[in-house]
Amino acid sequence: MRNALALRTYFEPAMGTLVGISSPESLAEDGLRAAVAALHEIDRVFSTWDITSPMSRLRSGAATLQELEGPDAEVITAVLERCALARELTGGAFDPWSLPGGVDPTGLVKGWAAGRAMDALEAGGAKVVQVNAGGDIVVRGQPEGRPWRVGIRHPEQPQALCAIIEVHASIATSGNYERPGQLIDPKNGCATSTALSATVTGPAIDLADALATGLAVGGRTVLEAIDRLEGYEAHLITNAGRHYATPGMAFAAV
Amino acid sequence: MKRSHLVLVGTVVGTAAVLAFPVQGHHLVIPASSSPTTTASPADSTTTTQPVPGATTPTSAAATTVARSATGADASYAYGDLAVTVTVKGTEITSVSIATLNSTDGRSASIDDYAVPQLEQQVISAGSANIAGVSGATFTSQAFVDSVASALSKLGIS
Repeated sequence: MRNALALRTYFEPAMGTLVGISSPESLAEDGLRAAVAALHEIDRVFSTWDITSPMSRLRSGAATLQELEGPDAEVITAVLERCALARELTGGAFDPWSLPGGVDPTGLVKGWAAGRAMDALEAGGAKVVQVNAGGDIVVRGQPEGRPWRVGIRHPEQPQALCAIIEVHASIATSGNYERPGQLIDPKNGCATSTALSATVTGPAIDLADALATGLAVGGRTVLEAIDRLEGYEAHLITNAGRHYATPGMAFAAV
Repeated sequence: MKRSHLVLVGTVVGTAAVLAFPVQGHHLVIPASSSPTTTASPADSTTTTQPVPGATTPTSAAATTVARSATGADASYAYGDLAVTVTVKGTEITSVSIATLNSTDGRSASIDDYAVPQLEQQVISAGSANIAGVSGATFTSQAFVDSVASALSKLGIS
């Protein structure tokens, strides 16, 4: 028997996916509007599909960082600094500078956007709220005093889950099942994946997003690196279907 | 015991969620009041009607509205085609799913530490898990949004 918590979710198409904002509370209109505006602002700056976006112009060499609008250059600089941190933490398994076509922070931007949307919601007074940017999830508060329970999609059965995690801040999952060839090994520029599914939880959603991508590419060594990282936990399913996780991963009972 | 109700975002289908979906141009519609509201039933359409198991909504209006599904047009993206199936009750989206599943190669890895064998055979029905979200690799492509829009158009919601 299920006593369901009523969550309202607002969907907004952005970044090529649907972003969901969910809460058991009535969210303030100003906060919702600001969150949605933040998503579209990040889309405007970072879209790699829009060849006129500031990030695209930077990638193609049509503009230097100095030639971009000040605020655009600032946010790109901030995102690239986070990318550099993720590159260091993953030993280069996540490396936006090694991708074909020029520096591409896409592997961190979706998480970054979810984090900025959450900032706006919190500024608007939201206490118990979730932002789900196409599977990258950031949460605040606890619905009815319990941790948010988030399923990890089963990599081979898209309508099922392979695990349930209690999430206190953020969770991101990367895998090859949606888009084979998406994961590029920075060391040789070739499509790669050592994992069916790679999930990272931790305090910052942008970093979790990037670390999950690095984990899917780098496998074991990145799992060990995340294990050493304060506040972050990881879960890995190899191509052979074996499950591995850091000891602190908050698996929840079904 | 109260637990979170499943909410579907992006890639997984299961029980219905309580959703407020944009009814104008696929963009966020801020409710005029703080109370949950549901818009009137949409016009007749040729789409199939199916029950949504476990549906729970905060308004009686939503509870009396039947669920309808439509699959959007195939849309091309960089790695193939995809189509999205959208289920709605009234003008609220209750689920969004992608039918496509691509296989990966079978290379194995050997990791002894960190093994979690009890998870290896675990397949959990999303509809019975009392979860409030699903984390997974997702399409991030214009094709996804295009197919959602196509499905909504078929359902008379656009």
